[in-house]
Amino acid sequence: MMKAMRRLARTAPGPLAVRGIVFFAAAAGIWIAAPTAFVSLRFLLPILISAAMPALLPNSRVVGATMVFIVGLWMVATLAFGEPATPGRTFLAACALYLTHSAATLAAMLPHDAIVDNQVIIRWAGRTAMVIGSSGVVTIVVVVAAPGLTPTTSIFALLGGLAVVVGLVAVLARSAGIRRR
Amino acid sequence: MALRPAAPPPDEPEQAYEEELWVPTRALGRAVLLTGLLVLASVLLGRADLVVLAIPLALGVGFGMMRRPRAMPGLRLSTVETFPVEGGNLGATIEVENRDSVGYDLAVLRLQHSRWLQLEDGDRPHVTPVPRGVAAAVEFSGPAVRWGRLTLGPASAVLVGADGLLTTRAVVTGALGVKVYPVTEAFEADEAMPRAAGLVGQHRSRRPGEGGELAGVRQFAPGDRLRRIDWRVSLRTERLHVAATLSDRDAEVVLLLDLLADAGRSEGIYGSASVLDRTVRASAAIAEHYLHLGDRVSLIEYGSSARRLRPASGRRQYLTVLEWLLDAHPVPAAQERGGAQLAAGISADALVVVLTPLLDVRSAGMLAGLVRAGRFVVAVDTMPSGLAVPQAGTWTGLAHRLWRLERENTIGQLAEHGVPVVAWAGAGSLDTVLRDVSRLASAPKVGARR
Repeated sequence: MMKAMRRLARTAPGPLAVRGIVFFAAAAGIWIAAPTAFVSLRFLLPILISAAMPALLPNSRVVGATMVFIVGLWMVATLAFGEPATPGRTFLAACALYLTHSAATLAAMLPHDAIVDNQVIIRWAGRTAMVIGSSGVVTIVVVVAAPGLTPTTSIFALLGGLAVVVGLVAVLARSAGIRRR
Repeated sequence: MALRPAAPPPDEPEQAYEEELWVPTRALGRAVLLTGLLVLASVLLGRADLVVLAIPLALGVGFGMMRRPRAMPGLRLSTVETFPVEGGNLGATIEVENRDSVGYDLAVLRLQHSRWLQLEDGDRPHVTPVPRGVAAAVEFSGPAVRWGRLTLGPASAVLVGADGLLTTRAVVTGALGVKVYPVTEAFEADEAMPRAAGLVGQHRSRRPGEGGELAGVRQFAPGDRLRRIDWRVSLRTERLHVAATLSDRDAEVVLLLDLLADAGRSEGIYGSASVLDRTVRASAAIAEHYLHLGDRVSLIEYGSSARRLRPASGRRQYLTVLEWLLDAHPVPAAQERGGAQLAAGISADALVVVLTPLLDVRSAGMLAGLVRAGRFVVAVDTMPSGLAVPQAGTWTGLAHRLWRLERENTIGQLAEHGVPVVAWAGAGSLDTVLRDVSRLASAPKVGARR
């Protein structure tokens, strides 16, 4: 207990701020993605606890689980509850999802007691803003193009889509150097 | 944490080493997996909104991989201090060099160091960005609070690139050895020396010679220097007279460090001092004082290693003494030389200053042996005052009192044998006892072995 207290007392403001961003991004993601029926003060505590987990354990699978949870809530809200996936809400959910991922990535790299140069956080914020800005542009293109893409049951279209997915993941993984050693 | 050196082993190709150095983080796997799942679900369900959720993650990976680092970073640990003394500030710098064509997001730098180096925030990791083609430096500064051979390092760096998607294993430097010299406590002793022996120095002798002390005026004799002529007396007496002076002599001072045992808690220069601390600091102070006067100073270790520093004078010898003292460590010895054996290697005219806590009965025996062998001995008690005794049982207090009484009895017996024991108290500690020793030295001796 004393050890934990000493560890807590050594926490530096830089890593704490980054973990705070993880918490707020995850909370916002859950709040945006969850069905409207669950967005009330009654569910505030579970939402806050779910959002606190990636902030506390940024270098664990909890972050991935939280992101999957947000996507799951989104699918439940849109499929089961029939809530409309408006472009604005979708983009906000995407931003929150990415911010959770990106902030948790940075938080995982910063020891809790580290003295962090302000430039590190400023540059990270700049790059995150650039990704979100670019995503906004691409989202507009997708939203504009999406009405033309009607759902189809064609097996060829399905296989073509799957091929695109496999290709995308392969390109990402290859560029990242994830290979079986 | 897996550690690896800052340079590849000589038999390992550098290219392979660099590729292996950068490894994907958990974030990369997470982003790729989630992007794949979202796009797959989007295709299966025919939902464009799931693609929108995946877009920032995919773009994040894409942008990150455009800034993929490949080269091995350079890491260097350095210190600028060349002659740090206890209590003085010491600076250390960790430099991490980016030899890549892209910038690193951040470098997490850690520095290990001796607990006697109180570097500001030295126990915390430091995180700094490392832009392309530059070397980022993190500076540490703080006082070295205790003498000794202290270690600075190793320093380690973990670098993160590609927006946190790639990281390195820890790159580690070697450790630096920092010599922190003991602070010399203020020490002054009067001019009384038992026997001055050499032909240089600042102690007055009874022999006429080239010195500063006026002995009288006498008639000119062949061999006298012209500048010694006292013109006033010569004019008055109409015969050449010269001013005769006494020669200045140096003396040999032997500092004998009793390192059979240590006691007390060492808390650095700002806290309590152990026996070893007091011994080393007092030795440095006494050596500095006598070397400043032009005397020859030698040091002998009374312990298992039995080191010895030859007698010499001057500032060079002072630096050698400080260096020699850095390696003083108490090592219990099963068998130790007696005073007579030690005396065989000590000049008969030398003043022997024994710094001892008198914790071991052999120390008292050694002192008595030195005196019996006709050496001029002064014992400096290095036992710290107010030494706290851990309470091991109900009898601890009583046992401690008995031990103290026995020790006082030993000191009394030594005094009867002609060994003055004086507690170290800085300036003027030895004045009284040195006068006594000088008086004894000038008295006629019968049967003293020389």
